[in-house]
Amino acid sequence: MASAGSGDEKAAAAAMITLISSDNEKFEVTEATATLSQTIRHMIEDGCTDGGVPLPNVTSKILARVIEYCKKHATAAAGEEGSSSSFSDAAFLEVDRAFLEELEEFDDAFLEVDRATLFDLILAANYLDIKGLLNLTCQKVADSVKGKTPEQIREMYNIVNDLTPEEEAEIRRETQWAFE
Amino acid sequence: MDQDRPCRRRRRHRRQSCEDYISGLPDELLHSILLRLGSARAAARTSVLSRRWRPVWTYLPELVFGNDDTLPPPAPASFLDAVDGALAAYAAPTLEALIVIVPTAGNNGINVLARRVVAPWLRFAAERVVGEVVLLVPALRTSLYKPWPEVDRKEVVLELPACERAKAIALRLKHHWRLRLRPAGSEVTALVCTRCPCLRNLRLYITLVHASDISIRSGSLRSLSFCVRKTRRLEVVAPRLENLFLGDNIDAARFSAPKLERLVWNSGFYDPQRHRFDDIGRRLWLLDVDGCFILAQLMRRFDEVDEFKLGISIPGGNGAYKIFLDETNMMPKCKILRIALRWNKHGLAPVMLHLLRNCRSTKKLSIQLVDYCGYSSYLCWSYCPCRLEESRRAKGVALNSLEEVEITSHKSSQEELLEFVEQLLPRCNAAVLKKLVINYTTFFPLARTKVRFF
Repeated sequence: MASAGSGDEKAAAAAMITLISSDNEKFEVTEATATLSQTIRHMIEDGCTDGGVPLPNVTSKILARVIEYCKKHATAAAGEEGSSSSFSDAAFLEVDRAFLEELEEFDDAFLEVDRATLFDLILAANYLDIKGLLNLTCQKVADSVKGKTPEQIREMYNIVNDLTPEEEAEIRRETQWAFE
Repeated sequence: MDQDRPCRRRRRHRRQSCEDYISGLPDELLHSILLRLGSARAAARTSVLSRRWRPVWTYLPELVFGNDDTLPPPAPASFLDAVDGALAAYAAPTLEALIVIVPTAGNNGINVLARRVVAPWLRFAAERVVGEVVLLVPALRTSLYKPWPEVDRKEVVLELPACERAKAIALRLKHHWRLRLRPAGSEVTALVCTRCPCLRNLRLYITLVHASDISIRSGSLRSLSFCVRKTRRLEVVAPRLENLFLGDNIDAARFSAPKLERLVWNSGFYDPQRHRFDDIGRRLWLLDVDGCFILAQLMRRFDEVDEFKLGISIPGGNGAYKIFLDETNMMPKCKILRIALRWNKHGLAPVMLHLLRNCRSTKKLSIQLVDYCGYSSYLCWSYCPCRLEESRRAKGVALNSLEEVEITSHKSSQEELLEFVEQLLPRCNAAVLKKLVINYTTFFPLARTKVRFF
């Protein structure tokens, strides 16, 4: 679908935004990449991105990863807009299928991080309001918890059980329906 | 996993392996994680992790019961206990969604799933849900050898909840559930018009206690799926309605929906005298009709649709094929044509050619060949299309706009699929065809389990 906005898209793709991490490292990214973050999108709309966007909650290590994710998914978003959107069933097109598979592989590889990084990514995705990344990272944690007993979850995530045995017994009684 | 090993031995990774990162997340993010478990039961089990976790699940913005695939399905009684227990412990004043899908396995104890159990759930929904209310009770599945106990056969009568703030309500109550309208016929009207002023999406799959007229008047409704048995006459006046699904025979109906974009007509027949579209244009985004017998008039009602979905099974009997040809002589112009053909091993290429001759403007064509058990046992009927002289003579068809074709075969043999393709494609003259995809799968196309219809 040749949309009237394609000229604007090109202009937007050329525009660069500087992101500044908490440890003062600067990252130059295209506007298309940066606007996957709703937080940054709003800043751009309000015209407060001159001189760079300070992100005091995100370290350079995490920001680099976030940008890596956004770059990949910004290409995907552009691809989606470019293909004929009237044909709702994306799986119909072989090309789309291959691309979606590639994206899935990217996501899987992207999630191969240590636990500390995973939670930092969740916090960054939340702060920057990047839905796809938040979904991806939260799903990873949820999948790791699925089907596990409370004891296994505690062990996996180093959760200290500060309940007294009496308290724990009481909660288990109250929520017995959840354990049956 | 490295992180899971005892950390004393691995001092270098001490920070990484011993810290409790998850409990430090704000509640909002813990909710994001717990929601993705897809089960209120699983979420509630985290209450026992530590003091921090105890109240977290009771503020979840959505409660989902039934999609719990990580545990063995609960016994019927404990499923009900779980819903009751969770609703009693729930602490937030409002929630976005309450979704209760009674598992099929729970049906053996369906006698406990009575009105007194379900009514409080709906009351809770009416008071607290600001988004979506979904209650699905599947049909009773019983063993052939074990008749239902008498108590199960009793009808359970229910009234509709007045969810003042709900944007979507879906009730799918099969079998012995009945919906009572009070006073005669006005319940749905009153409910949708005045008591649910935010309602945008309503899906009703249920049987009425008494055959009644139903009137749905709503200024907010965008999508309506209506499959209410024992409806005598249906009236829908919805100035903002965009999507309409009709799933059961209705003797008479009148629709006023000037913004209608998508129409799914699974109701067995259409009679322009009895089913009136008052101020609906002749153009739609989607028209989806299943079984083209007695629906010819409906297809003629619209001149142009972006996407036209047609489900076809040609019943047996002499002359049936001829009637089919006549019925499908006039179809709306469309850009995308999706056809599901109930596969009968062979002879379908002429059927397809006939349809294409009447849809020459289509740009994209998707054909699903579905092998229904039973049909495949007929090798070739006396009235099989392949035996008709006119099929053999069927000329090619010029499809000057056709750019993409996808043919998917479900459960039939590869030879059958190839035969269909070989008979069809050489006779299609598609000068601008860019893409041809042929899929072969041994699985049935599964009915979509997703709750949302549109």
